[in-house]
Amino acid sequence: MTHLRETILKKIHEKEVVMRPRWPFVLRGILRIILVAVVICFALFVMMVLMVALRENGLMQLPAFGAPGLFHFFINLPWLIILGVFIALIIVEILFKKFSFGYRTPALITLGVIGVGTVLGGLFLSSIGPRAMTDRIRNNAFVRSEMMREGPEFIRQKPLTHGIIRELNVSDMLLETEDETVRVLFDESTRFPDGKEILFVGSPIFVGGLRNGSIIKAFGISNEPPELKFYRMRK
Amino acid sequence: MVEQIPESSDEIIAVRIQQGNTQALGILIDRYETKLKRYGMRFLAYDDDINDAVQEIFIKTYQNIQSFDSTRKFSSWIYRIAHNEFINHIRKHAKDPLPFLDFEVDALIPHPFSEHTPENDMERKEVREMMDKALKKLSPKYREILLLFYYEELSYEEIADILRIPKTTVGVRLNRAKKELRKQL
Repeated sequence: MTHLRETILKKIHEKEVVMRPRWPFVLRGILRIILVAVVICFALFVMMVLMVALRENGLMQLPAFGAPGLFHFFINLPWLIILGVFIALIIVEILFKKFSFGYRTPALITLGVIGVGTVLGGLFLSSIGPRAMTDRIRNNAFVRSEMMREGPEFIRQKPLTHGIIRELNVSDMLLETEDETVRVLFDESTRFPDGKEILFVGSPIFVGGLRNGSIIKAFGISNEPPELKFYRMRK
Repeated sequence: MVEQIPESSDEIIAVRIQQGNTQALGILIDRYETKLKRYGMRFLAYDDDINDAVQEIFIKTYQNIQSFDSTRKFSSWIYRIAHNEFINHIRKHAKDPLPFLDFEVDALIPHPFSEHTPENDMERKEVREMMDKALKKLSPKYREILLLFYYEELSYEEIADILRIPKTTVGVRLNRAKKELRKQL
């Protein structure tokens, strides 16, 4: 018997070294799984609220207007909230690495799968979620607040306007919004994802474009989505 | 009188220890003492430090034996404990903290194929000779993976389990370690 073997077995015999019971390890594993599930559910819920909010404030319409629409869509996203979701996903990734199936896969792959899954899950839940829940989210003051339309100061010019056409000409129209009347200019570069047939007096429309006083140079014009509350403006 | 247990795998012996057969730990100590000391020699300079660290490894093995999953390889598990113990020992005595993080760039990125090419016996012998001359000059990250592969003769999968990195990263890192070794000579 080697000296080391003798020393260790003596320490065990004299209870200087004691075997830890199984239950703390099992409990730690279970808690880890629960924590992963909770963080994923949190990220999914936030994603779902985000998707509903983006539909509610009309930002989801912008990508249909091509490159300028896409640009304004990205810079008007609530980046603080998205950062919160990203941090949650990093936490999930760190917890994943404690499991053997976690560290055997490169982090970019697991993070990618978790990230894509969360976005798609949020999108899916926001479209099929119980009506009562999505309505409650839609009516929530936080969702309708300015926080959901964050961006640099010079960008906060609301790239979206909605209203009813009151006067229509060849290259411009008068649009009546909730608060005022604005002139909307359009030309060959303006995108019409729903076709030009939507342009008639009395039609409720969405206009993508930044304001210059009471004039908007439209980079896109589309129908007003029916799920938006503004729909009742139609007279 | 020491109980004689017929030749059994490490995993079966570990299960016996979990069931309360303390003497079975003696067999694992006999099997791993020399290997762990040899592993430790490449990290720590003094025999006393190595002996202390190896003793601590076996104590932690016994204390945490209930966390060992007998469907996995025992050698990977005990080497993982050894890895953590040697790193802690180095950190305690180093003047500057080691830039040796488990969170590594090459474990983030997927490598479709391992860059490490298979070797014949001559090449292995050549690498071992280089290691004898220049191992201490390498960073711990490269030193360890060369030790595990060339001295302890562990497989990629076992090394991946010890270092908690993807299997493909093991091959990439081994290749880099050999290049670094050649640079040092």
